[in-house]
Amino acid sequence: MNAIGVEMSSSTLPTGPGTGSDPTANVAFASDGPSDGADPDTSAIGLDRTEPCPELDEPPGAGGPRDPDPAIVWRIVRLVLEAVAGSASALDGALSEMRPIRRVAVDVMIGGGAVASEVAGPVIYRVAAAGGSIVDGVVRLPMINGWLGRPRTLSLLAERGGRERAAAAADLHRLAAALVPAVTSAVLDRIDLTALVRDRVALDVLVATVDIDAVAARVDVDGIARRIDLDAIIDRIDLVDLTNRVIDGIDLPEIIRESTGSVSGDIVRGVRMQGIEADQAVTSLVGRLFRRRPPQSGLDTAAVGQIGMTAQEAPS
Amino acid sequence: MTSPPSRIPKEARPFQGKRAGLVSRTLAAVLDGLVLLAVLTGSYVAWAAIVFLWNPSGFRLPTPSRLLVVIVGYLVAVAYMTLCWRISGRTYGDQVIGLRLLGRGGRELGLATALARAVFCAVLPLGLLWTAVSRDNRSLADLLLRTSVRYEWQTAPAGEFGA
Repeated sequence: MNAIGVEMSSSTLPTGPGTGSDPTANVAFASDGPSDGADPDTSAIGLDRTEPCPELDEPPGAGGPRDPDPAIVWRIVRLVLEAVAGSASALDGALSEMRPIRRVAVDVMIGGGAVASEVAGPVIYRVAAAGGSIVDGVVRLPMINGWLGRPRTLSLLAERGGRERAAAAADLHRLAAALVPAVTSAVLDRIDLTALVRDRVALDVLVATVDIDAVAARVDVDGIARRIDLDAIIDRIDLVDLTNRVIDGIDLPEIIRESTGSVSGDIVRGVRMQGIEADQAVTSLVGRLFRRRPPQSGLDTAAVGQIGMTAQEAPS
Repeated sequence: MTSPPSRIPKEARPFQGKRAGLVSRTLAAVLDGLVLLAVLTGSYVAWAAIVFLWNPSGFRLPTPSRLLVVIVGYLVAVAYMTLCWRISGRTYGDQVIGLRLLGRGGRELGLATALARAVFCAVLPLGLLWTAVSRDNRSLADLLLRTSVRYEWQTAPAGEFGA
């Protein structure tokens, strides 16, 4: 029977609502009637007897591969006691009301349990082995074996077990749903979460992983700007004073003088360049009239070709 | 002198220090003539104003003789050109057109040379036309006094350019 329980929990039985599976659906499938050679009831829950199953065929304690620890029950109890003791210590520490006698009492209980386990463990193991042999012998009786071997009987047991597990899981889920918010709220009320994050969280590392550009791209700057009341802002500004400060800062008179000088400078440069061009034309004309060779001095003949550029195109 | 080259357009840089031709020098002379006309007109207005202030009731516009106008005009022109050439090597027309008058060896003109050239230019202004005929763009005054007028778009001390 122990082997049956292990197989059911590891392969087919539902694990509760938290896992996302529907326990009632699995149980309903397991209760369907047989349709072919392989019994769907037993195969659905991993109990197909047509295949060899050492855990069912071999009696417990008959020298099989499994070697159960006789102190497993006590080890579980010890873990529970340790958890309770730790919880009590933590609670005492939080309340600054340490009671050493409680800890001593728990230690005494653990020590006594350990001695009892060492003494009673082999006895319980032998008793369990003997009981297992007796049960195995009873099970092998023709009438009992036939009754237990009927797939219908195992299917009903599996169905009942599934319902019980589903109900327990649902209860556990409701309990957690009720307790977790209340406990979380109570814990958060007693913790300075800001200080905790500031002291324990590497904010620079977290911020370094944030794609600031992507965040900025999702910001609707135009929408924000549309919601701004610019008229109200302008009403609060002394525009005359602001204008005077801007003019003082940029030295507007100097800018006007420079721009005016730039315009007049362009005109002067234009006149000068046109004068040079006209000089070249006169020199060329007179040179052709007197059949002169290109001048060796005076104007640079190599630069004559560059005169074609107008003065307006000349850089300042 | 290390003047900022950006002041001069790139296409004009090859001509800096070269002898100026007839057109540029004529333009400068025309501008100088306008300056002289403005000076003479201003002098006449100032004279009339002084006469008016002296005798307002019997004021009549002065009517100087033609000879006086010519003599004063020549004197003003000679004084104007002499002072400008002696001080900076440029008259106002030269300054606008970007020209500069240099003496022998590219030096500044002395007072005597400046005065002699001013008198020559005032008496014989058509000597400027010889610039078109001369191979070296020299006027008659330049040939007589060994001077030269060169392109110089920015202020530079004498002696930077060769004669």
